[in-house]
Amino acid sequence: MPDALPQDITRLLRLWNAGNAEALDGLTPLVYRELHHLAVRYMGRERPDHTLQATGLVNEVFVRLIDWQKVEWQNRSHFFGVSAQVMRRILVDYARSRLYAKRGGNARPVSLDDVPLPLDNNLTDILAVDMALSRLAALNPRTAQVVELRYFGGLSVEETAEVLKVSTITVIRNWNFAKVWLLRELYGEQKA
Amino acid sequence: MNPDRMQRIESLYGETLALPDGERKAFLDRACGDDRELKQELESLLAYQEQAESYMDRPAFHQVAQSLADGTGVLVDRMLGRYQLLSLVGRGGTASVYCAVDTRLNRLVAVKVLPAFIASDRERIERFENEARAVAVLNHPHICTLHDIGNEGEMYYLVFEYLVGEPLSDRLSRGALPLSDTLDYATQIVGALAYAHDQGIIHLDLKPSNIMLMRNTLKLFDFGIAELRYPDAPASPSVAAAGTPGYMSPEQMESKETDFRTDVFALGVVMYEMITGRFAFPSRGSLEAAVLNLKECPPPISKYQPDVPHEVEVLISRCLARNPSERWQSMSEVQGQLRCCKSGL
Repeated sequence: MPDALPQDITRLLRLWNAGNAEALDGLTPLVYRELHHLAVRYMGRERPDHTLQATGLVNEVFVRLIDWQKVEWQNRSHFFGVSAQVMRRILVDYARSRLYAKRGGNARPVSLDDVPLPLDNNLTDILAVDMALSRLAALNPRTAQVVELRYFGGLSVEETAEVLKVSTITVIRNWNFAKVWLLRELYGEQKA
Repeated sequence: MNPDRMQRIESLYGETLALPDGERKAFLDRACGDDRELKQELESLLAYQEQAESYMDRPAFHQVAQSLADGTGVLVDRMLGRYQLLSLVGRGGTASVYCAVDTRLNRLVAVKVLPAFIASDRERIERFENEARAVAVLNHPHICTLHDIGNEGEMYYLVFEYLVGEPLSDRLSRGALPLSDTLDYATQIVGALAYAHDQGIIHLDLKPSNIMLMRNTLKLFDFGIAELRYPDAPASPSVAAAGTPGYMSPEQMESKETDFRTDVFALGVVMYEMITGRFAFPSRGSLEAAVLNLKECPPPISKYQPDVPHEVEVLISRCLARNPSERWQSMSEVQGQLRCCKSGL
């Protein structure tokens, strides 16, 4: 696949936001490719314990993918919101397909690209959070939105505050409450 | 539950959290009044607060990327070189182990697949290949034979003799061993180590899960290959020396030079565990804890096994000396002491 231009991504995001479901098909491979880039970086240097402080960086996929120059300033926060939704859709689909992939019957050589993942806690967690988050949204939409933006969209506290037009303190409180609530929702039965 | 109630819970939760630990209970009593359900709800949420601090600290995207990076994956039914992987038999923090069939020689083998990310580091690959070549020389009845190494693209793997049996760690989870078995197993382990040391190869990660009990015999595996000990670490010499916290010698933890006496120490830890059914260093959950507890001494064996023969205590405590120069200086010294122990039975 030829390298997608940032303006294409921006256009696809716009289309998707305008209700064009097919735009997601165009976005998905781009996100997957970014996933592989990042995975390769993890393979090398980064260790799980000292990575990625939430330092006001948007999820790097969209930093790299979106032509921010072309996005008008007023629309910036709207785009953050849209990209978080897109990421959620794509990542959840991805996790689901990896976890439920059927094994091919015929033996064939492997390459990194087509290695299915093991039953992976990270991936099951993504699916579980997605489902629990829908329940949370019914009770407390804004708190759920904070999770969507932070966890699926990769936004920092400040960016989340900007999108939701609330203070950073509020975002921190919502975020903290959501994590506790989700944890209990997901692991509560085992603990009881 | 309705949204208003949820709002109230969330804001009360925030207020409670802002208070010091000691004041929370009184605050909840006051704020909830006789709404016991509300209070229970808040208390049950508070129980997750500590866990929540680090929860979701990485966005989903990074979790997926990391899964990809870690993913040696479930390769069942696939071919790696001439090996067809039949089933996943183990998965440590290190490598995934598959039972596989060598399609050329038509025999069962164990294939260890290393995490894909080592392929991105030329130096690590070289070190891995050098170590594997050294280990492949070992040919001993109590050492699991390394048959082959290879790679399929970025996937590096080792092919070992397939062992049918029970890891010593599984056996020990059911409790201590009789003294005679301990001495018998120790004799075989020491025999294997003495042979390897003569070939210039140190195990460096001897522990019960690397010892397979088979019918009438046992075999050591994962000899001397750093990637099998700690493959997720950067290739720095200090981490290359690392093993498993509970079984690591002080010199390994302090990243000092290791030699065959490092295996003497680990042997002591394993024997201690066989006789007492307990870890010699129970507080060493992690490398950090192990380093903090560097000065820690295991309780005397006689505390758990009052009738342990004196020779056996001497054997083990001398293995466990912190200073390598105070340990047994060779496996043949250990063999001598083992003979003393056995003759006393």
